[in-house]
Amino acid sequence: MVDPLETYPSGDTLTAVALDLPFDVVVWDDPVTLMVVVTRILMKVFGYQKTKAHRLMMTVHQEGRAVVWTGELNKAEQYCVRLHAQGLLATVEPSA
Amino acid sequence: MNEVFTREGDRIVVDLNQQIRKFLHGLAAAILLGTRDGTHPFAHRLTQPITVTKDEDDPFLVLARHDVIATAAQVLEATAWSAALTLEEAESWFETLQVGSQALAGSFHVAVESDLDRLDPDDRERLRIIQGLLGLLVEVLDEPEAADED
Repeated sequence: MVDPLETYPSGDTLTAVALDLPFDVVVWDDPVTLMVVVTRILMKVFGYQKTKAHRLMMTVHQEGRAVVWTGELNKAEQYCVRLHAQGLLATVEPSA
Repeated sequence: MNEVFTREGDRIVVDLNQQIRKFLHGLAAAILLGTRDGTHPFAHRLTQPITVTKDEDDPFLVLARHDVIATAAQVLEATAWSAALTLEEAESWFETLQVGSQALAGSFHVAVESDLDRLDPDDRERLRIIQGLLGLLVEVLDEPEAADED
């Protein structure tokens, strides 16, 4: 499993902020969260339709992580806070 | 058929025994403690950084997250013995159960699927109860609202 804390060096974040580049909100797989719960939280936090939320959930389940939203850093952090408050493992990182 | 949570219009009837209700009340209380006390076993999972390059978050982000988590946990704590919940209260149960499963798994150092196999049977049972209740709650929360009976 990829360690989210080792995915990007800190310089990338500083560069991305300085250049006003987009950031990804990433949801990570975990061994206790039910798939229906991930889908429901993505619908609730982002207002996604069930099909889109289900597709993203399947990516999390099969690949260990999924980019669920991309955009400006402040908004990405707000979404990430909401995902954590709902009990999902999520991080913000510079968009590839 | 889901006999634990039953949707009746804009409320959800809860049929749980006292033992499970006591467990849920304790889980909510532990989450509240975890948001206030950095040494609590739940605290680590409740304060994980959201920015991958930082060891810890901006304190404002931590407070914002803890505020939402604590509010939902307080609702569960206050309604743990209720016979029926409003939809808003049921959403708080959903949020607290999910945060609780994460916090509990974190306190047991469960990071990957195989970690579940080495858990004490009682600890595994606690996680299983929460997951079971979450599955049933999602079913009833996502149920289309029944038409009013005339």
